[in-house]
Amino acid sequence: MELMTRRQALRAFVVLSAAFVCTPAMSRETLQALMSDLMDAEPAVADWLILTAPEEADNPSAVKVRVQVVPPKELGIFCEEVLLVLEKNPRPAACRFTFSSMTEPDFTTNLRFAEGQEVMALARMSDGSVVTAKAPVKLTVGGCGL
Amino acid sequence: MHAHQQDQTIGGRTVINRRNFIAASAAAGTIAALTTPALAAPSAITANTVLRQRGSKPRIVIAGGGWGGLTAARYLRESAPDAEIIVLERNPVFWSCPMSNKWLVDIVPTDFIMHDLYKPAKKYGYEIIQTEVTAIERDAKRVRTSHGTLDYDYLIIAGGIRNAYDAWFGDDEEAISFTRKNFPSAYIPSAEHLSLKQKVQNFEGGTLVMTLPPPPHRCPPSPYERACIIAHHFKTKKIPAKILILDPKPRVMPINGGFTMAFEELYPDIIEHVPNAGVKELDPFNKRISTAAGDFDFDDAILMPPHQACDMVWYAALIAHKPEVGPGGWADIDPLMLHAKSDDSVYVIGDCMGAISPQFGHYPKSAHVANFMGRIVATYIGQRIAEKEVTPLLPDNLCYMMVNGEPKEAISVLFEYELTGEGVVHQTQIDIDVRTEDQYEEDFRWINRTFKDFLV
Amino acid sequence: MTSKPRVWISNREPQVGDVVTVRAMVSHAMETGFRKSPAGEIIPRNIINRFECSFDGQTIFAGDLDTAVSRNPFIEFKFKVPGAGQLQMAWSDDEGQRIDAALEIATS
Repeated sequence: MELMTRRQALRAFVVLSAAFVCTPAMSRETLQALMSDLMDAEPAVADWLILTAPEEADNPSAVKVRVQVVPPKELGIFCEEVLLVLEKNPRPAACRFTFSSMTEPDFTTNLRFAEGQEVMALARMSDGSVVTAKAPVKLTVGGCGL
Repeated sequence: MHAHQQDQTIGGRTVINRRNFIAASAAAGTIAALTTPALAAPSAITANTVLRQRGSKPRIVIAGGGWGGLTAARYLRESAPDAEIIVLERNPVFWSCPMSNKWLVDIVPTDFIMHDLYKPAKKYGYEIIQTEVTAIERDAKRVRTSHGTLDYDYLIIAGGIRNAYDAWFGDDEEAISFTRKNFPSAYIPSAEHLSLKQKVQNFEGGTLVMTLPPPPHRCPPSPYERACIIAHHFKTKKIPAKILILDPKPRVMPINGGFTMAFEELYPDIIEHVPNAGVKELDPFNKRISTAAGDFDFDDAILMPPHQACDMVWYAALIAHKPEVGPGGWADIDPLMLHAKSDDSVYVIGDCMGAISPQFGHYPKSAHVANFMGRIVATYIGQRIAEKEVTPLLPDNLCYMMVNGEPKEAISVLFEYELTGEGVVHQTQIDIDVRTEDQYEEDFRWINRTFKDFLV
Repeated sequence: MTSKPRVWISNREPQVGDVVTVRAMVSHAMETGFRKSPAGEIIPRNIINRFECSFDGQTIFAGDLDTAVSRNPFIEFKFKVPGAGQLQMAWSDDEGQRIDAALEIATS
C-alpha cells in the first residue's frame, strides 16, 4: 500500500472513530487492524519515543505504562496518535490515543499483561512516519500477601 | 475451728474475708436474709478454676475481641441462636487501628477509635470476659485463661498479630523492652499508640526513621499512609524533619503508583523511600540500624518489627512452620473452610490466618477482611450446628489510605476473590491510584457502617 | 459494575498557558470475554472502548481501548490551559453505557 493511500485510510479511520461510540461492533477489530497497518509501515526505533514501564511488576492486572513523544525540533513533526501493543496478549492492540494541539504527547495508562513480555509503542507522526519503542516487563508474585 | 483471718489487701483492693463479712452481717442483723454467702472472696486461680461452667448448649469461644472476633460473635448470635457465645479479650476497651494514623495527628478524636466492648455484647446478647488466654489444650477442647478454664465445642482464634522482636534481638529482653518503650511500633491496640502520638506531635526536627515489617504483615499499605500523614503534619507545622522509610521490599507496594505520586508530589523534601532495606542489625541504644541497603543513624524512629500470628495460635500448636506458600509463623488453615487443617473444631480468622493460595499467598491482613471472615465463620458454624451443608464463601477487600491532608485526599485498593475450576482461590487486585476527596469521605462511610455492624 | 469517576488535576486554578496534569479513573469491570463462569459459560465481553476528553466542547484527547486495558481504566495526560473553562470526560462501553465527568477550571 502506498504511503499516501495508507495515510488517507488512517485519516478516514480517525474521522469515523467518533461514530464508533454508537457502533461498538465495528470498533472491536479496528484497533487490531490499525496495529497491522502501523507495523506494515516498518516503524523505525526512535529514542525520542519514550516508553516507561516497570522492569518488574507485581500486579499483572494493572501495569502502569507511560508514553512520551518528544521528537527533535529540527524534524518539524508532531505526534498524531500512539498505539500500545502487548504481543503476547490474546488481543495484542491494547489502546490508541490521539492528541490535539492543546495536549502534550505524554500519557500514562494501566495495562493488564497476560504474561511477562515487552510492551510496544507505535507512534504515527504528522509526516506519516511511524516510530516504535519497546520496554520489557517481568511479572513477579507480590501484592498484599506472601 | 479456723483462726480469725484478717481482711486482706490484694492488688490495692481490700478483699473482705468471707467469715468477717458474715460476722459483720450477723452483727448488723442482716445475716438472716442470707442463706448462702452473697459475696465469695476471690481466691487464687488454680489449674482447676473454671471460668464459666458448661451448660448443655453448644459453646463457641472466641479468643480475641477485635474486628474479626466481635463480628463473629454478633453474627453467631443470629446463625446459632441456641449456642452460648463467649468472647475473651485482654483489653478493657476496643481500640481501632484503622483510622489510628489520622488520630496520631488529631484528624479524628479519641472517641472515634476507642469504643465500649460491653455495649455490643449487651446489644447482641453474647458474653464478653476481660481475660488473657494463657494456653489452648485442643485435645481437651479447653482454653486456659488468667482467670480460669473454659471448655468449648468450637473455638475461634481471632487474636491478630504478635510483634516478632525475637527476629531482631533473639532473647535479649533488655533490647526488646528498650525498643518497645522508646520506639514503639503501634501496630497492636495498646498504649503504644498514645506513645507514638506524643512522639510525632513533639518531634522538633531531624530524621525520623520508619522500619517497615516484611510481608506478610498487618495492613500492607498502612506504613506508607502513616508516613504520608506524619509528613503532612511536619509540612503543615513547618517542622524541619525528614522521614526515611526503610522498606524490605524492592519497591513501594501495594498501590505503588498512588503512594509514589503522593511522595513525589506532596512530600518531596520530607519522605525518602529506601527499597531493599531489610533490617540486618539494630542498635536501639545508639540509634543505629544496619540494613541490606546500608547503615543509618536516626534521631528518632518508628521501629516496626516483623509480624507473626498472635501468641494464641502458637499456644494451640496451629502454626504452619514450613508452609508451601509464604513464610512460617501464621496459622495453618483450610483455605476455604477456615478451620485448622488438623482440627475442625478450631477456626482461625483475621490477621493471624496463614496462606490461602499459591497465587497470592495471604489475604490482605485488613480489618475489612477480618470483619468479613467473622461473618463467614459465623455462617459456617451456624450451618454445622444445624447439621446443614457448609458452602464455601469468599471475602473481598477494600482499603482506603489517606495520603494528603490539604485537601484531604485518599487512594484505595480493591481485591476480589473467586474460586478457579481447580478449587484454588484467585485474587484480582485493583489499585485506585488517583487521590481524591471522595475516597477520603468513603473511608469514613466504610468505617461508620462497619462499626455499626459489630460495635455500637 | 460502574461507578463514579475519580478525577484529579494538578492545579485547580492554573494560569493561562500552564500545562496541567489530569488523572482520571472510572470503575468498570472491563469484562474481556475470555473468562468463563463457574458453570463453564463464557462471560460476554463488555469493556469501555472509548474515552474522550474535551475542553469547552472541543475534543482535546481521546482514546480507543481494547481488552488489554486494566479493569478500572486509568488515564493520565497533560494539556495546556487556554483559559477558564470546563473539562469534560466521557467513557463509553460495548453495551452503550456512558459515564461522564466534568471539572470546572478557573484561571488565576
